[in-house]
Amino acid sequence: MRDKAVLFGKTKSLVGIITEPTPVFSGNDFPAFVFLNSGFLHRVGPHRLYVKAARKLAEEGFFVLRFDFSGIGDSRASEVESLSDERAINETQEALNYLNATRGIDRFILIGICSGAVISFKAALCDPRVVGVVPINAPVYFDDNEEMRSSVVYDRVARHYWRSALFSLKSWRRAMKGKSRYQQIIRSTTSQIKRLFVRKRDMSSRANNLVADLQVLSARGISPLFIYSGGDRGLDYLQSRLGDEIHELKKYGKLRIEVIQDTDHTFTPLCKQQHLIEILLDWAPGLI
Amino acid sequence: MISEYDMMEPFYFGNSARSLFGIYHPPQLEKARNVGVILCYPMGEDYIRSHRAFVRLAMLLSSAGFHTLRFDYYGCGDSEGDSDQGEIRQWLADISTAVEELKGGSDLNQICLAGLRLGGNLAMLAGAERGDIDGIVLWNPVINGRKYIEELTTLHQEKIRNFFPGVKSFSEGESYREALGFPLPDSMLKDLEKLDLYAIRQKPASKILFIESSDVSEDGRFREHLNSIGVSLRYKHIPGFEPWIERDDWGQGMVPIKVLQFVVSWISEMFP
Repeated sequence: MRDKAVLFGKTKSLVGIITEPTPVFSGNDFPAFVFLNSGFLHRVGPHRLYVKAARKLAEEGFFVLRFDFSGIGDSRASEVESLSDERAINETQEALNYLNATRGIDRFILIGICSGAVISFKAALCDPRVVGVVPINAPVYFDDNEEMRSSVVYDRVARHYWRSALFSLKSWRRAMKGKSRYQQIIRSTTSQIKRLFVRKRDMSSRANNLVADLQVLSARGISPLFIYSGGDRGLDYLQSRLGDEIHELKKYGKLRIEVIQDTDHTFTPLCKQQHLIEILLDWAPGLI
Repeated sequence: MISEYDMMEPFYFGNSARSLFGIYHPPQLEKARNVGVILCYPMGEDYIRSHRAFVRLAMLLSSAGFHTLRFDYYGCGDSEGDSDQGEIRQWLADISTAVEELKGGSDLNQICLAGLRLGGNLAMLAGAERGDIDGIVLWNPVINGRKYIEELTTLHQEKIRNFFPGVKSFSEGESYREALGFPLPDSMLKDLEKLDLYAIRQKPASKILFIESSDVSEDGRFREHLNSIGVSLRYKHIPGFEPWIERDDWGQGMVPIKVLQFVVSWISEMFP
């Protein structure tokens, strides 16, 4: 058995499971993976996906820690009054401190689904020991820009009309009979035509913070691996947020985006869970 | 002040090739009783969704003075094994391992099992086989295995239809099935098909609480069956909260506190 239960943190109240790597493969040059809670789901992850991924990564020589933030799963709720993101970042750093103190590991890869994706990215920005980050289905509230969030939702609706309803005879029949929201169709047509002309300028002005954050990580040699379920709203958000910059960032290796089609936010189909793990196994050796 | 969290102890136990993950919640000292309670989780997605309720239940039991152990079966949660390696026979052996573990660490006179959904069935089967279980909490057990498979299959198909219109199945092989993100191999299907709480004729425990938190209650026949095998039965229906069902806000971590409080008050009354 390669899994061990640990209690760590300032008050020894954070519960985690360490998966030891297969000794023949591991070495000091292997960074450790740290899995962060997906919403309120405890450290096994949605559909036990974190356990599966952790054990596969350990077979490839990686040390893995899965743990619960305070107030989630088995960890005690924190008595410290702070914003939850800030607290989660501090606790992630406590996890890194623990692995450093007890196992001598000083390079880490942070990974998480949904809210765990957001914390993984933010903690990577804060802590120089992080050498890799894998935000999975990072949600639309990646930062606190309300205007941007509304814009993503509007773009999504507009694209639906542009791609399907606008060119559907059935939709136009419904519109003629007054059953469709024809105003929405007209507005989306205008919006999409405008996008063709103003996209570059408009999007570059929006990109600011995230691009700056990616530059910070890039300067440290980190190229985040963003993984999304096809159709996940977070993917729309990332694409809208980065606009045309996305191609430049990918071209210069500052960002990698993998999209897994035909799956939901938590990777319910087993074959999609397997696909996700295969992406990780393919990507991780590049960090050794 | 020491909280229930300060005292709890996560650990692995059992055979090293089939290690099980558990968390022991010792009793609050001033109320300590020589009674142990083992929590029996449901399986698959039911387990994921009800984990938070089980953590809370363990805390309440610990506060009420019970030695409490909750643990993951082989191939589930943090325990050893892949998700497709679970078998009812193995999970019953796991419950016995947990009973011995809890007894070994404390001087206990009585043992209770508390199970939700499939965990309730496992508690009943383990009790009937072992003959030394004193009390059982049956929380919305799976009364008929075939209906449970139908229910899982329907929920899975609904999810596929809702999220992936046009896709009929994600299973890669004809003989391999899945439900809500977890494998449902043939071996498990065969195990589940055989589940029938009416088939248990041996008294699983002298005292049983049958509690339902679903909106629709069982029609009474199962209660008659329990009475017919000589059980001292208490039945309670607290509708309105099914933690194993996916809800729009399931990520917010609500727990059915009235159900949990009733379970703790019943065990406290039965095992003073």
